[in-house]
Amino acid sequence: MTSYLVRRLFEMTLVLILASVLIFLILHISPGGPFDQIAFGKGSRGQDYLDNMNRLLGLDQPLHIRYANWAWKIVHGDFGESWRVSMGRPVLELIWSRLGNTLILMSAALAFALVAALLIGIFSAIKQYSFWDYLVTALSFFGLSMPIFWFGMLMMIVFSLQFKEWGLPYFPVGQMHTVGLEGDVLDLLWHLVLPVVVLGLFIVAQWSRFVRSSLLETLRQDYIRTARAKGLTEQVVVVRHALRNALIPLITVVAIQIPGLFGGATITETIFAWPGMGRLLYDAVIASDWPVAMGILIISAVLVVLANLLADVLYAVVDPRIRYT
Amino acid sequence: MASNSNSKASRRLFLRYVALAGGGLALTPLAAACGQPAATPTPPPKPTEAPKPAAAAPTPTAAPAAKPTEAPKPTEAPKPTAAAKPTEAAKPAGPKSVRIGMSQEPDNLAGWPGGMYVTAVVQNLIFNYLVLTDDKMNAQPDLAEQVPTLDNGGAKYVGEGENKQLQVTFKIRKDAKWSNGDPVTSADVKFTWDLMMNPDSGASPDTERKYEKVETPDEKTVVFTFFSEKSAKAMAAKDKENYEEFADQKGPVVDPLYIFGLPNSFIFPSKILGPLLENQPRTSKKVQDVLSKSDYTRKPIGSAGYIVKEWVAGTSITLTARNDYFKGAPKIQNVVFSIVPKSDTLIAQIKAGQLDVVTQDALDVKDAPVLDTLQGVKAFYIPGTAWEHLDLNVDNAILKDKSVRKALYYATDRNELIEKVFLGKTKPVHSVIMDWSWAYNKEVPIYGYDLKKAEELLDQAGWKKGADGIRAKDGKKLALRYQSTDSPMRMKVSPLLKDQWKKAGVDLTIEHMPGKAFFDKKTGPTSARTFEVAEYAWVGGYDPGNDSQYAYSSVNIPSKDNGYKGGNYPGYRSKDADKLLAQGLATLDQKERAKLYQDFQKIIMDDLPTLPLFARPNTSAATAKLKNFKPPMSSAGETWNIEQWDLE
Repeated sequence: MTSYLVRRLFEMTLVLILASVLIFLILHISPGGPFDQIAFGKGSRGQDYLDNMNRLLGLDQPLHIRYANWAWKIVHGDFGESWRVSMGRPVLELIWSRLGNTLILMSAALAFALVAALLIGIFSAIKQYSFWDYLVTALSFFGLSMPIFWFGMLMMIVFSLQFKEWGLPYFPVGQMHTVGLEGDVLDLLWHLVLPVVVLGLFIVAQWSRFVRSSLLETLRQDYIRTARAKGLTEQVVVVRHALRNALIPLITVVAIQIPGLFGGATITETIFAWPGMGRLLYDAVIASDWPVAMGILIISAVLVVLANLLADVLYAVVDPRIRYT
Repeated sequence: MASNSNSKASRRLFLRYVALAGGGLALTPLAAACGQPAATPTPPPKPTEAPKPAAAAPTPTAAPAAKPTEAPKPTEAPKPTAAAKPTEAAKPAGPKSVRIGMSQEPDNLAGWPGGMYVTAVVQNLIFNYLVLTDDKMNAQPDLAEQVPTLDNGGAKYVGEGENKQLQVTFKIRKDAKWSNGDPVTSADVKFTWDLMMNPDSGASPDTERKYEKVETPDEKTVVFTFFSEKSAKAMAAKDKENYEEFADQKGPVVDPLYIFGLPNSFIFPSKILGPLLENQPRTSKKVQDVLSKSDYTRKPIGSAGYIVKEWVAGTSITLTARNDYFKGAPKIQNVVFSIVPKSDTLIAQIKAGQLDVVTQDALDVKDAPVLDTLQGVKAFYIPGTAWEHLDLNVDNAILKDKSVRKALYYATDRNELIEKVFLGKTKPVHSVIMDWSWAYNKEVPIYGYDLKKAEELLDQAGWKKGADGIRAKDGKKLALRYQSTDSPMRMKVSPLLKDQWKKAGVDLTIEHMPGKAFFDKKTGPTSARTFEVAEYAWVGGYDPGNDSQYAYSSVNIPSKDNGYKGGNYPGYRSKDADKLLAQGLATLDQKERAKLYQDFQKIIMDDLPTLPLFARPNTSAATAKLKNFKPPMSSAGETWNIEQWDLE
C-alpha cells in the first residue's frame, strides 16, 4: 500500500504541474485583459497609467517568467491579490470568504441527491421493469440531459414568480439571504430550496442509475439467493446484505464529486446569484481577474487529484478483495 | 425477480422508505413557507452580529433534513414591520428602502470616475463633484455655490500680455459637511487636485493639469489659475515629457471645462486621506495602495447623502442616509445594492418585487419585449451619449471621392438598423456633435435613406453596375472591407449593412475582431489606418471642443511618425475645419464657440469622412412607485440624483 501511495503522489505532482501550465496558458493567451476599459480611453495619461499598471502587475515580462513567478508563489501559499473583482484583496482571503457559502449549497445538494438517489435506485432495482421503474428511468434521463441554466430559470419562474401570482407559498428569486436577515437560518433554508433541487436533481439522475445497476447486479449473486433461502425477510436481504455490497462502487462516484463541494456549481450559483466559489470564478473570468481565476482553478485541480486518490484508497479499505501492490 | 410471497415485504419496505423520505422532504418546504417573511419590502437593516455564513451553518449536512442543528440566532424575526418603529408619528410606514440590482460588483469605491460603471453608480451616493452634469447634460452646481463663468464673473482674466491667465473662483457651500461632521473646505479641493497630479494615482487630469496653481484664500474659497503663455513655456521646458504641447503656446492656456473646476474627479477628504499619504498627496508613493487597497476604498467617507453601512462581499452593499446632507435629508432612508450576475435573474427579481431598480449595466434593448410587459415596472430606453458611426478612410482610392461617400450614406437605411438591432428604441444621429449639445447645428443636412439618390451619385461618379449587381470602374470593382469589434450589437449591424449596400451595388466584406486588437495603438486597423470602413463609437461629452479636435483635426492623424497619436482615423484634412476647431479651443465665449462649431458641422457633414449612425440606448428599469428616477444620457449612473428620489 505504501509503495502504491508513493507512486500515486509522484503521479499527482506531475499532473498538477501540467494542470498549472495549462491553466496559466489558457488565461493569458486569450485576448482581452483587466485594463481593456482604460486602454480605449483618450486621455493623454491613459497610456502612461496603463504601462505603469502593467509594470506593477508584472504583465510586461515574457510569458515563461510570469509563469515561473506565479508557480513559485503558489507553492509558497501566496496566491496574489485580486485585480478587479475585489481590488487589492488577497485571493486566498477572497476564496475563503466564499467557501462557506459554497459548502452550504453543495453539502445540501449532495445530501439531498444521496438520499433521493438511494431511494430511487433501490426501488427501481427491486421493482425492475415495473411502471415505476420506467417512469423514473425516463425522468432521470430527462434530468441528465436538461441544461442547468434553462432548468434553473424554469424553476425560478414557476416556483418564485408563478407561485406568487397564484397565491401559493413561494420561494425567493435567487441569492442567499433576504437583506437584513443574514443570521436567520430559516431564511437561509428558504433560499436554499430551489438551487439545491436544481443541482441535486442533476446529480440524482446520474447516481440513481448507478445505484440501480449496482444493486441489480448484487441481487443476482449467489449469496443473496442463499440469504433468501435461509428465510430472511426481503427487507433484511436487501438492506443488510445486498445494499452494503452494492454501494461500494458508489463510494467512488461520490468521492469524485467531493471536489465539487469546494468548486461549487458555477452555472447554478450564477443563475441563483448564490455568492459562492463557482460564481466567483464566473465573475473573475468575466472581469479578466486572472489571479482569482487561476487561484480557484488550481485549488480545484488539487482537490480533484486528492479526491481521486481518496476514492481509490477508500475502495481498497472497504472492499477486502482489493489490494494494491 | 422476487416471487409474490415477497411482494408484500417489498411493498412494505418501499412504503417505509417513502414515509421516511417524504417526511424529511416535506419538512423543507414547510420550513421554507414558515421562514417566508411577510410580503413587505426589505426590512430595515439592523446592526447584524456579523453572522458570516460559515458561522451560521456549522454542520451543513443537516440542512436538507430541514432541522436546524442550532437554534436560529435570536436576531430579527421574519416580521420586519413590527420592528420598524417609526420615530416620526406622521409617517404611516417605516423608513423607505430602495433595492437596486446590478450585474457586477464595484471594485473600489475610491476609484476615479471613468472606471467600472457600477462603481460610479454607488459612488454617486457617497461623493460630490464641485459641479456636475444633470440628465440633460447641463452643468449644475454640486459642492459649489454656483457655476463660475466669464459671464457671471466667477471666472476672469488677470494679468497682461504673456502673463495673462484665466482665473476661476469657486465658493464651496457653507453647509457642506463630510459624513463625520467636518466641514468641506477649500483644502479638500486643493488636496484632491494634488492627488490627481500625482503620477502614480491613476487619475486622468486632462483639464486639471492645465492649472498653474490652486489657491485657498479662505476655508470656503478655491481659486484655480491656468498657465499663462509665459509660465506654460517655462513648464514645457521644465517637464518636457508631460507638457510638450506647451512649448509653443500662444496666449493664455484655457480649457472649456473650466466651469467644472475638477471635471475628472470627486472631492476627497484631505483630513482622512492626507495622513494615509504622509500629507504629501502630490508625491507620495503610497497613493496606489491607498487608492486601491485601503479600508477607505471599502468604507469611504464622503460629502454626499449616504454612508456605507455594510458590504457583504459578492452579495450586497447597504447604505443609509445622512440627515445632515446639504441638499436635504434624502427621502429614501436605506439603499441596498444587490449584485446578481445574470440579467434574467434580475428581471425575474424586479418582476417579483424583490428589486426596485435594475441598472443599465445589466439590461439591454433585447430585454425590451419582457420589460415592456412587466406590471408596475417602467422600462427606460435613453439614447446615450455614445454614438456609433462608420469611419471612411479618405486615403482609400475608392473612398477619396466625396460623392461616393455621400452615396454610401444615402444607401444606409438607419431606420432599418434601429428597428432590427435596437427594436426601435433609439434614434439616428445626424452630426458629429449631438443634438443635446449647446453646439449642435440644427440646420445640418439630413441624409435620409434614399437608394435612388445613392445610385445616381455612384453612376455619376463613373461606377457602373455590372452583371453581378456590383458596380465597377476601369476594371476595378466597388468592393470595400468593413471592420469592427466583435460586440454582439455590431455583429448584428454588419450583415444588415452589407445587404443594404449590396442593393446600391457595393460589395462589402465583413471582418470582426476583439476590441483590444481593433483599438491597438500600433497594429489596430483604426490607429494604423489600414481600414477602409470601420465602425465604432465615440462618447459625446459636455464640451465638443477637445473631442472634435481629437477626432477631426489634421494634426491628430495617427501615423508612425507621430507615435500614433490622435483619433483622426479617417485622415480628414480640411484647412477650414482645422481653423474652426482651433479657434473653438482658443476662446471661451460660448456663443462665439457655438457659431464656430455650427460652421464646422456644416463643412464636415458635407465632406463626410465619417457617417454618424445612431446613439446607443441605455436600458434601465424601475418600479412605477419610484419618483424622480431620471436615468441620464451619460455614464454618470442612474443614481446621480438619488437624494431627490421618493417611494410611494
